[in-house]
Amino acid sequence: MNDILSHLPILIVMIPISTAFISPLAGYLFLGWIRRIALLGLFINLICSLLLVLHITTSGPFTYHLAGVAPPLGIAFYADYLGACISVLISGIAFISIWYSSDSIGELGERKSLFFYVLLLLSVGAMQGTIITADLFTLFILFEILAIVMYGLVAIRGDGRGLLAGYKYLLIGSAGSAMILIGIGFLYITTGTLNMHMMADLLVPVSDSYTVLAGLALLIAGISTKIGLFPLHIWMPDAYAYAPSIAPVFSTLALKAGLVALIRVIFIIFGPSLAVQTIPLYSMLAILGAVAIIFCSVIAIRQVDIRKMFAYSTGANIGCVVLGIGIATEAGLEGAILLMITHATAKAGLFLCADTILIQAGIRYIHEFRGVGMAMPYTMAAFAMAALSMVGIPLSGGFVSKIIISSAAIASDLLLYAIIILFWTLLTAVYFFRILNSAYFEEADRVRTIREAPINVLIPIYLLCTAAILLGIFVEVPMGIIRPAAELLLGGGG
Amino acid sequence: MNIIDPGFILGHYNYWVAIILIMIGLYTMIAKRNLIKKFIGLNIIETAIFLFYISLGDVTGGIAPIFAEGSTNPPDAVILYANPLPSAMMLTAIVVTLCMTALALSFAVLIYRRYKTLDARRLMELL
Amino acid sequence: MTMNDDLIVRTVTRRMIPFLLLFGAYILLHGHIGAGGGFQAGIIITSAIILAAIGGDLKEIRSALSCRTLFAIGAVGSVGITLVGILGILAGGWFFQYGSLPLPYSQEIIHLIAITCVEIGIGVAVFGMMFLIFIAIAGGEE
Repeated sequence: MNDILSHLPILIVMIPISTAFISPLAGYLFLGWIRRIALLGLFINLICSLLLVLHITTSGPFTYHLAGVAPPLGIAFYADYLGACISVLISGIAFISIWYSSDSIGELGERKSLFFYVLLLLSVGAMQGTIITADLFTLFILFEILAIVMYGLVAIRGDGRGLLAGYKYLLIGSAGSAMILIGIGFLYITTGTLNMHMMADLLVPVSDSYTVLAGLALLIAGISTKIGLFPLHIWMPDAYAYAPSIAPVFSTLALKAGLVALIRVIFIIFGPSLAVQTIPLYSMLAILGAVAIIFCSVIAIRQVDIRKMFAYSTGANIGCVVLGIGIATEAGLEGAILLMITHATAKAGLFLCADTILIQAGIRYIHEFRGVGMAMPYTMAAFAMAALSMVGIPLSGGFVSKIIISSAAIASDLLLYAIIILFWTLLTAVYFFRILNSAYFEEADRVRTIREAPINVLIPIYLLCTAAILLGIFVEVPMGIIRPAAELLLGGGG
Repeated sequence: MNIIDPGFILGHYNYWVAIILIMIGLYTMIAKRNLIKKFIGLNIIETAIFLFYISLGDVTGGIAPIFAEGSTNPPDAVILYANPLPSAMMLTAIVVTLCMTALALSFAVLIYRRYKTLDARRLMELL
Repeated sequence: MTMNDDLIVRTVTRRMIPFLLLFGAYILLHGHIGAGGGFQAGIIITSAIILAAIGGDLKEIRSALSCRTLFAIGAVGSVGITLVGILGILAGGWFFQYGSLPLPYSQEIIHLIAITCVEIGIGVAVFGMMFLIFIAIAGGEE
């Protein structure tokens, strides 16, 4: 195994983490270099992720054994289609947001922005590890690193509300991770292994035992806390609203990593044993997802703070991904993965636009958006593109993923879910078109001197927002890797 | 495996201790209004989980899984030793909990400096 | 905080610190064959320095070890750990596979050296970060 390509699973995890530690050292020596080094590290990371995708599509998924010790004793990383495609998503969006970040970090001051970059890089490393590990305890550890970094990111500004939001997030998130830890303990005493694939086979004969069912319940509840699935989403709006500058983008990505972990737990660990017994896990997930969609969308309409509105919109999207998982057919899973990709791209674009508007015009409440479309035409056009993709206008990325999930629901005789997705599109349209309407068709009530954002800020924004639209037109590009991913997951985890 | 059997209940006392501690911790997290007390409740839960895991790794009559001076590889006699993996996992989990506690305490210090209170209900109104 | 006035606290602290540091070093180097390891050693060494800060002069220690220095210490430790892991790849093995390092010693000695390097890295990183947290909480500035 001397081929460098076979080391990619560990490299995509270790490159951001080592960059996170090298960059402050360099930042102390040469001021202002930290962002360049972070960018360089994430660029290498992006290339590694792309190489991993190429490697996997040509030669199939493979396992990587840490320190060369095989799974019963050692820790394994499992690079499959799902992990590779979300890895590209994470490193790509992280790279673009850090590219964007130069102006927006200014509010934090020099010393804090150093910590800010360190936390961002650490979170990228932890996310890459979460989506690629095949060891349940490593999953927990990386989840924890990710969570601790996220708590820090929410509160890094050090103002009162950020700290309170961070503390709330910390209490709820830690309770969730305690649940994950107990769940792992239950599964470990039943099977005696922590490797996901070995556990899957060992769980089949004992899948009726209460220990296994309790372990499953605790794992799902814990992960749902981390991803903010409907009844456990209460930390999300505050964490989104008071996190500084580009931190919410990384928070969105962290939710995607949590969703990948949920997919792995359900389809790899419990896939074979759920096939032989009859607890209604899938339909429960689908119901939770559907309730999340309606509930979060209705609350999003009531919000006045644009970031809180985005947070509830993310809650609805998480619900739709979980609904796709709950449909549990190949098409449903494909739609769920595609929705993860399109939503992350569009939401990252929206956050960058909202941040630019906040910096240039000081606007963060929705009623202040009047006339921004005239003052900042380019930023607002990008905002509109990403918003259209979120709503699901035909030809955009959001449209295709919603269509796939709803047709999967219809194919499984779950017409109600298809109607809910349709209704959700309408609700999304209500709260996004409200902003677009006041930005373009209402006059500003007073003359404001708002200047358009500089070109070096607009380039990353346009990269994300056009990607959100183009994902719908060139949908075959991501589908090429999503299809085998869904097939592999439903085939019992390979 | 009758649940009412007293032998079953007493034989699994390690699980009962863990369950009771987790319940105490949950109660503390939910009922106490002080932010630090809430976090201490979480710490109690984590400690209960550590106990649970470490009691999983125990083998009746087993020795500590340390490679003693003079023992050869492979060993001359079969030595019964406790499963080291849960302990190793818990070492890592302790580190994680420590980080979280440190973070929570520093948040609490900063919150107190700013608002001069740690009462959760009053603080959450401000959010 | 000025110099601690209590004679007993000052004297006990001054006598204890060398032993704590020695114990920390023992735990650090003993980690691969017995109970102990980098994390525990880092914590013990940190507690020794914290004791010095409580019993002696916090300001003096903070001026010697600023936040910046401590962060750099922690980062150096972490980079060291990663480096040992990556050396495993460069030597043609897996990540963290020490056995393949091209050193002119027996396998056992190589393992020992590598593990000790990792433990020292962990210890240094833990020391830096833990003391940073202490200063952040106790130090008045954030």
